[in-house]
Amino acid sequence: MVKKITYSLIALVLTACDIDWIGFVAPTSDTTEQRFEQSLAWNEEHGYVSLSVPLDNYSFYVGTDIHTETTVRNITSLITTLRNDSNAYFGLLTGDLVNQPNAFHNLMPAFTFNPITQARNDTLFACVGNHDLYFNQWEDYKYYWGTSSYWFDVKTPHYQDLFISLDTGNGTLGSTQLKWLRNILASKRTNYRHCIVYTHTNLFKEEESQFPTSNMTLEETFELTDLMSKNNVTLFLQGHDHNREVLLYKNVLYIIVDAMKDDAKNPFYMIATCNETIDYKFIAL
Amino acid sequence: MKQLLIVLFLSLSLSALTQDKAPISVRTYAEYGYNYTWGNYGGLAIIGNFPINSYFNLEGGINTNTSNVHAINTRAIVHFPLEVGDLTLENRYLYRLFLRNNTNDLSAAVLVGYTANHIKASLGFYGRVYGNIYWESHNESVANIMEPFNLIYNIEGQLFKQEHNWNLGLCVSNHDDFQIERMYKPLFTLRGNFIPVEHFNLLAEFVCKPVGIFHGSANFYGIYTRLGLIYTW
Repeated sequence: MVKKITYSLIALVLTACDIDWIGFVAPTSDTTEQRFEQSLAWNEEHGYVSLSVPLDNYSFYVGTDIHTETTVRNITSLITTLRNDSNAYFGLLTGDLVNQPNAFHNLMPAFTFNPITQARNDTLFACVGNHDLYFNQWEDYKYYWGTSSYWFDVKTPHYQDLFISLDTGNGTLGSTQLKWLRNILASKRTNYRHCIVYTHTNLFKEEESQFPTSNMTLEETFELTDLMSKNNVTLFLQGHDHNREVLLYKNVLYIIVDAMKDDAKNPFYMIATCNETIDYKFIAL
Repeated sequence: MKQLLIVLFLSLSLSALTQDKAPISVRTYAEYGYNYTWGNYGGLAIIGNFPINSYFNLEGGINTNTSNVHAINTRAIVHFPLEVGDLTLENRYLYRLFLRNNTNDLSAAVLVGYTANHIKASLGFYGRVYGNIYWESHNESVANIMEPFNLIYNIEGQLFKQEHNWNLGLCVSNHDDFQIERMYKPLFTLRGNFIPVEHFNLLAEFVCKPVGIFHGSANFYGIYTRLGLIYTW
């Protein structure tokens, strides 16, 4: 433990230029509540996405904690593989897309369709992570992605599945986003085969793999896990911790996906396949 | 050998029980709070402190609130009086029923504490287990989740010495009477007390609970305030 604290402090000092020190006492971008209002306004203006896929048992890709600085090797690899996978139709990115100021401008060209290397122009959906908020980068996130709290659905020949993105960049949903989530689940869940929720901050703290980054309060952890169970959510995807964790708790499958940043020791992404249940596998980069 | 140990244990116990001891006290307070998850809520708590002798005391308390969360806390504290303050060793158990979420949690902690004229501080470890109150699953879901290792800490600076008839204190901690948060969820407390007459000590607390500090993206989460008194016999 002492070793871990020492290494963490050394790492903190070494990476100091990537840390927005204001964030230890105040929000580094707009607050959770303000961002949610902005996300909802964007949703109202642009509408909610509905994808149609030709297969009931389609796949989607999940990547997290890209932490882009200048290079985009791993995310380019994920996007290219996804767009050439005949069974997969979209991807989810669960936050911490960037690691330093202005890095969104380095990251975003990786999403541009390349007809030479890619068969289709599959969409990727994202939510915001705490690093994406440093140095007021919510403005950049909004410029490129528009919203972090939204839902979309996927229509297959016989079913439809619901995907919900949550903004937990500060380690909380906030009050209005929690109410919105309750309403979405209460009004929509029963119309769908699977419900997949994805967000950045991980709920559980079974070990100290990424000490000392924090997760949610206990009140919120208990509220969310109960809400997921009561609404029969199939899969709850998280990032933030950088280390894989798979946990079936109260009949809901919670997965933390490994970090896929370019300098990670063991970068992975995940491919999930919707059948009667959801199967998943982790792919090394 | 066994008889010798029994005699030694009995004589130590008798000597402990015949020591001068501090009087029994009862602390009770009402609380009002707001957080993003529960919204507005109110609560009541009562905590009894029972000194066994001048070196050892037991404490037990219950808390209930309008968010349908209820708690029982117990503490056993051994005091080692020093010339420069009071050193303590504490064993604590906190059980909470989140009836609103069909979840209960049990935490066990061991802390070393130090109290001097203007300072109170403690540091220790705790473990937690939480899960369903009613277990209905028939698949391979885990019933309980363990958080095996956590730091528990408290540091408080006070305006006057402990025995002054009124005081103000500022405190950073990850626990209070009825919650033990994860180590990176500090609670910031402004605390005051006033002794108007013998036996009575009036208390007031204002607590701020932020999130995201160790994310490097702090944000408001909740506040609560407590008003109450301690009656000492």
